Amino acid sequence: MKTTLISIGLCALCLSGAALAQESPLGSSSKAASRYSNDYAALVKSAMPAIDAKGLGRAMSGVRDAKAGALVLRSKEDIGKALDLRVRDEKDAGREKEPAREVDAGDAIYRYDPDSAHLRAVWRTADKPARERDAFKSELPEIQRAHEALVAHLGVDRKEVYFVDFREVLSQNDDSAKTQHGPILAEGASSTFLRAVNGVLVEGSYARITSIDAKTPSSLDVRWPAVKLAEEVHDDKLRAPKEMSEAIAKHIAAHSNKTAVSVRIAVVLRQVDAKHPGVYVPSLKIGVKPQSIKTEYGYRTDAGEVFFSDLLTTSAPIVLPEAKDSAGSSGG
Amino acid sequence: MRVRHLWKCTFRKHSAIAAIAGIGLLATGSALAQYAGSSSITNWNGQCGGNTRDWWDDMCMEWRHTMGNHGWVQWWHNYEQVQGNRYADNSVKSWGIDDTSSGMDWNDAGLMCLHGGWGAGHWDGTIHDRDPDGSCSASPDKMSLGWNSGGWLRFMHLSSCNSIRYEQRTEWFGPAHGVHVVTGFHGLMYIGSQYVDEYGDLANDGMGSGVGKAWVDDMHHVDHWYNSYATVCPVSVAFGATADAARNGQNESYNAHWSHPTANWMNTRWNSGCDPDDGPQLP
Repeated sequence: MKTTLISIGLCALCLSGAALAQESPLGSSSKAASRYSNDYAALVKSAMPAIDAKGLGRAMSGVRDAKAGALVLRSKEDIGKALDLRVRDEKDAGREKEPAREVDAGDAIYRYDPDSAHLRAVWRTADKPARERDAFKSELPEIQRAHEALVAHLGVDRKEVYFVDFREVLSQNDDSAKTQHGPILAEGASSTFLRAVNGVLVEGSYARITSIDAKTPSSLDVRWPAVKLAEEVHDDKLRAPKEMSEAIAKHIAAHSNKTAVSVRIAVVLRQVDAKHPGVYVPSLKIGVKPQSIKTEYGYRTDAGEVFFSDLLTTSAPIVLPEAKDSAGSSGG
Repeated sequence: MRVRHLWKCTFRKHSAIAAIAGIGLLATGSALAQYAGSSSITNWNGQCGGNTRDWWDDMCMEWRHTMGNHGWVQWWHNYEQVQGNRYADNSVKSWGIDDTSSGMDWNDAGLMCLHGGWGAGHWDGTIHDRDPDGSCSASPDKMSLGWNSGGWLRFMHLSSCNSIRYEQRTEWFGPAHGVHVVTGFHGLMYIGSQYVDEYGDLANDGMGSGVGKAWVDDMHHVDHWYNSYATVCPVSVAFGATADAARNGQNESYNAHWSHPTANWMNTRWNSGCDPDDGPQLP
């Protein structure tokens, strides 16, 4: 279990004034992840965030007042400038709004959907030899600064960056006789910026950059739409998190075959519908982590589950998938 | 299907000529279509147990559909059709059918989506029902992947916990008989609606850049819970005759069709310090 190492930005509810040492009422206690049980009702109760309906109402007012904006990209010129890419001189260049499509900019291929403010880019970079990890460490601060500068150019508002996950990308060679294990080498570094508005995490809104060094990006994925609350988000339609306890425990019981699990819960903003990007509702994000099970083969480590329960009286208690695959076809 | 066998036989006998002819056929978009295959389970309601995961088929379907959008033929066998013989090679298990049109090695790129485990010294994927040996596990010691074992797989993706546990990564040498890249997870991974997009991203990114690199980029996930956070730790391994060739294998895209590697070396790629649930922190 990990506690937050780098938490940036204004988390009004969890980092205000003298409350710094306290845990956020928007999420489960940091101890929740290590508490395993198959008494799902008790587990959910103990993992439920402390925030009540009034507190949730205040948090949503703050989200509404924040008027969180999207990336500032309005044209191919904007994207070219931000990513340092050549812009093809086409008739439609500079249009205010373009449909999402892949653009080959020579050094990179990118796709930008202005409706969802989703930008993806993959650079065509010449491979650089992997570097000794110790030597590479001295490059890390400059790379981190370059990543932060790039997202700032794209219009990521620094005060909405809640958490930065920065890592080296590493590699290692092994021979098939399993006698030669090469040193661990550095291939680059990657930053993931998670977003919160008024201290409430925005699920699915983040920026991720990977680069070979401070000057050579290799991939970019930024999802940073304007954040608007759905029309039905009003105080009289909000549900307190604890009202959802029974439905959540029931869902976990139906999916867990009486096995021991741990549960984490957080209040987040969830995009209601991909067809309406940027429209959010308050929701509980529930993470279920099964305890590994000893079997005849060793340990079975069932995958964890993350699901959502929207905090609106007008919503179904649990968000379930609409699409189902069919059993099979061998193509052709 | 018959055409696929014919092409393969011809290619083996007259590889250079067939390669040239193949380019022509690809241009017509007919017989030499590439196959993208996926297998997922959501409900282990057969002989083998596992927690229910509603969104797993959506995640894997997203990858397959996106591959389909790029012109790949889609192959899928899900739910109760996820039986051990589809993922076992008959050189290892007499009942294995992975090289046939019903098996995973029929595909050029494959994705298995199922629970996993690690205690036996290697990954054990939890299939739907017991195989003819009475086992609930799909595992590297039953597999032989790629061209040199009679199959087709160049890229094998494993959406499964501990499918490439760092300290057990070299277990993937065993089934590497022509497969170019194998990707998976160190430690626990998670299933849910917010992961669906990542599988589509992988298919899109892998068309224009290295599949191994795209996996490590796209599948790295940070879930924050305010008072704690969790990371999902993707790992990719690429094979080659030399250490340099193996490392370069991380750059192969889905459509690149590089020559089938001799797996003298593997190159493993991951994000530093990634600390998953149910697994030790990566270096």
